[in-house]
Amino acid sequence: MQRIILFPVNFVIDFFEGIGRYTLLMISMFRSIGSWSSFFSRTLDQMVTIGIKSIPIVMLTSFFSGMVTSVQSAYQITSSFIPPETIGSIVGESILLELAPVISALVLTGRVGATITAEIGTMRVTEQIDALESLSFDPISFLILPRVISGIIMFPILIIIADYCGITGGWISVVFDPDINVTSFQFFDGFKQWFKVWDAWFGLIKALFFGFAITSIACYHGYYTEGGAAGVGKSTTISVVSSCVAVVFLDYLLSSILL
Amino acid sequence: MINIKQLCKSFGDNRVLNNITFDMVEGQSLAIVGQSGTGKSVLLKNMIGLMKPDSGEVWIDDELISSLSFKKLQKVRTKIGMVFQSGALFDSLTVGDNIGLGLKKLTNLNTNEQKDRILESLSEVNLEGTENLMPAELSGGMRKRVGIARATAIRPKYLFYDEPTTGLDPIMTDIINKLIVKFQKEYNMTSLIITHETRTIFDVAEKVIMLDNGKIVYNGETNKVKDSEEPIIKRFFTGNSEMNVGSKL
Repeated sequence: MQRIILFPVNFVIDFFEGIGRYTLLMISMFRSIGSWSSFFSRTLDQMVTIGIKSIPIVMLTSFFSGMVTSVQSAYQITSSFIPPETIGSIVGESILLELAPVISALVLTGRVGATITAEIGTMRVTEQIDALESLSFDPISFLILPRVISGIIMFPILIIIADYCGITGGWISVVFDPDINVTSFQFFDGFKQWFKVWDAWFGLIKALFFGFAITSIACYHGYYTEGGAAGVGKSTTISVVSSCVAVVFLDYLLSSILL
Repeated sequence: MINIKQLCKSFGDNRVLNNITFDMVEGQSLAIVGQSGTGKSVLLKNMIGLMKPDSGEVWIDDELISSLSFKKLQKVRTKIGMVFQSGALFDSLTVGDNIGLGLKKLTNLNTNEQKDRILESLSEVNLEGTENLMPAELSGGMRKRVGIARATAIRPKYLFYDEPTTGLDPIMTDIINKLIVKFQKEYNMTSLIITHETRTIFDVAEKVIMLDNGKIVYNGETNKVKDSEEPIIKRFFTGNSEMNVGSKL
């Protein structure tokens, strides 16, 4: 009974303790930023793992997001008063502002975030992080900094790819779906009419924040893993869940500030 | 010289180390023994600064470990080689790179000298030709030997072993015990061995400290420990779980 009553109290205490530990870890990471050049090759490795290897999944999800947006926009636009070019503008704006950055970020939470937490968590429970420290390496600048820098650099690049694939998906859907009575010219005409450069920039700014949040949260949960294999599983689950929450929260926060 | 003074460490209500005090002379091999969960590994982690004590002091060559900044602590750690219980090899690096990592960071050897030292270290632990293998391709005993090669490659002044023979067959235990003695004699490395294997204690250690419930119950020469009439010590060295040790049972 006492445990049930204390559960919300303990939850709040644990939450703020977690925020505090995360903040301290990030401060330590930013303090070690001067040494990033000594881990340049590790950063390049991580850019390949986090960025290059994620390109296929990002292309696939954004391509289908674009296709679905086209089909659903056509389904909802039944009035002949609405010009057919509108579908191009809806697809373009949806992809650039929301779908490409957010869906890609949620996919990358699983693809990149879970991998980082499991990797660092396994290193923690098998004493590899202690071994690094015993060899005079700073585990924060050796393990965390390269991953977070790679996330910040590669996420915007992935979102640019996702933007192209999403819009292409929308266009392919328009061309091959017989139920959508819009020509390629009308699709791109609509897209151009409503296109604002700031919208593309806004998506990239979001990607930058998502890149930082996903990689840093994943590193944090991995770094403080305890309890063997079960602990690694638990940390990975918590990492994915908290990264997803962080993505949707940041999405709202940045939209309300920047739009 | 290593001095431990009144070291205390607790986890919650559980006091793992209680007023631990001892000295370690250079060139000595000291075994810290005790049952599982008596705080041996916690003591070791406090000694190399991986954990901070609640109170007490750890001095290594006149440097107070618990008060050092990370950079100064890194400098002290260049004198210490650490062999971990599971080997703690970096999964993503080859055996050669595992050994080379410490050499790059802690020594002034050039690339060719580093390569030579890697091969020399592997040959010292009888693992010639394994430098390109990944840790996942090695057996438990081989992983421990690579761990020893990694720790000794930098030629440290102090070499700490955490359960170096636990879980190994008697032949591999003998091989590792002989390696510990060899490094201590050849390079005059001061060795600290955390173990609960009685064979390892008698094979490699000149001095023994026994811990029980976070306290030192024996601190003396290895060849005299078996003569002790202390029930806790007798029970440990005879391996008899039913032996009466008074109120503790």
